[in-house]
Amino acid sequence: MLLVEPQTHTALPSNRAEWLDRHLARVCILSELTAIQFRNAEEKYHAVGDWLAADGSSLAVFAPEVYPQGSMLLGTTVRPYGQSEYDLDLVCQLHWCAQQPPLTIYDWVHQRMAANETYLEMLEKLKRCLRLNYAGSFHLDILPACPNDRIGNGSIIVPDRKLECWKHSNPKGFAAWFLEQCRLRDQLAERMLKASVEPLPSAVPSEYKFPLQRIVQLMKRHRDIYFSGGRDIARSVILTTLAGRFYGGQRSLSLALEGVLDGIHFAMEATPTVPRVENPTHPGEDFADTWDQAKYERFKSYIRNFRTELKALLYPSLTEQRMGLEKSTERLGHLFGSDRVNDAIRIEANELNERRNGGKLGIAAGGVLTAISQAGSAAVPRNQFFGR
Amino acid sequence: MNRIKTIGIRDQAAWVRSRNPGFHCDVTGGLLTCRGRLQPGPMNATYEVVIQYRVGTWPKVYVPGDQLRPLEPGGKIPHTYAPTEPCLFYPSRTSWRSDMKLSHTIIPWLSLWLTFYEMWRATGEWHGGGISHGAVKELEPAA
Repeated sequence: MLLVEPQTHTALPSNRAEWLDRHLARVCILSELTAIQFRNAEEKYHAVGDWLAADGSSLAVFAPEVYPQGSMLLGTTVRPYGQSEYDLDLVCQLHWCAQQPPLTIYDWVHQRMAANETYLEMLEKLKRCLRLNYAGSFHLDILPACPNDRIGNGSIIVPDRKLECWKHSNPKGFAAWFLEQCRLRDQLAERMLKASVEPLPSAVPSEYKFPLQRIVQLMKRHRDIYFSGGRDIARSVILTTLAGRFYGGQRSLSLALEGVLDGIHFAMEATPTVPRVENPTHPGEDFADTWDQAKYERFKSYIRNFRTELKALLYPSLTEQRMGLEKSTERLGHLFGSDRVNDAIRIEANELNERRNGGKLGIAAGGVLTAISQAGSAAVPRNQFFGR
Repeated sequence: MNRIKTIGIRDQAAWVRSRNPGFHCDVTGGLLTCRGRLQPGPMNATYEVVIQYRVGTWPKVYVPGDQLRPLEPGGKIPHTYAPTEPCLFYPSRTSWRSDMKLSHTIIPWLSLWLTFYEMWRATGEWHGGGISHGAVKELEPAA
């Protein structure tokens, strides 16, 4: 399935960074929830929230509230490599419940969900969350939670992996920090955000994306390929935190990504032993607390590899430049998977053909293809390539 | 029917040179030969190209040497007459006429062809469209 790019460019890219910006954005668009899927998922989780809070629900007294966390809240969804279904994480937050053991809360939510015939059929009990399987499109993982009144500010407690005790979490706080990083140094983006999205962190549909959101998507996509499903795969929250910390606000996606990878690379090269990756909204919590030296080295080599490939794409050797698009596509394929990259090339070709058929393709001195609006360009008449 | 105002060979050469300052053009015995380099876009290689044209014939373009390569040895490159000769247009009286400037048709079409050629090299798919050989008989050039 091909998707239309929401952004329309009047000019053709005039340098490698500009070409990469568009190509990378296409790779992201091909990997994320479409606007329709996004709204569909939203409707589904609102319905879950309504069911849990409905009159007659055993949970109604706890005023349950269902909201997205993780990539759906951050606008950084990426379809898992080689799969067609997205993982979407939701919080089912109850109130006045922090005195109960996690297992009890988990069971209450499960009982209420199972009382609905539709949900019962697609409900699955996972270790600490409940999963609703919408076959072929996504699954919703619902994590029961209670407010953390000691800290407040959107803080919650969630069951630990074994449902034995409560653990601190703050998905809303983390999203607020992330969106702040997105806007931090981007004046134009800030204006756009004010005009289009409420100031509070809210789930961001795919049409509106900041470079930092795209960077996280690209890092996740390359991570999925680099670690190829291994057990030591780097957590998304680590990628998101590091990207947010080292993002410099460059307007160009490819140059901003280069800046992030440079930042992480140099920081890690200067840190031989396993570092802490602190939760920016909850100092003291280390996202990398499961890293040992081997996992850390693996993460460093993932960053090093990503950075080397991106630099070669932006600043190719003369030999590589002579090999043209073929070599760049090969490198992009290593980074993000050749299927996705070939689809992105197909979209680029479609755009070029639209310009061509609409009389909007021009040629500048030296035979460089350009947009007809560009000064000094002459319109290219239509032609039909001949021959087998 | 309107008569076509054929552009003379020296005017064709002048247009090519003024639109493409790096090109060298030469007219010998009514045959125009233009040589130059084309890089269609920032990600593309730079190609040495040759354009030959004589009033009353179809313009021909060559990408000499082994600059163009099939996907496997002995394979076919789409939309070519020969491994060094792209087919830029369907030879009919409406697609190219002698009142058209080489600089405004043949050269941009070659840039486009090279763009699609590189996409084909990269992905194995030809996205440039076109008409197949065999479906039509060779037609007389429009002069």
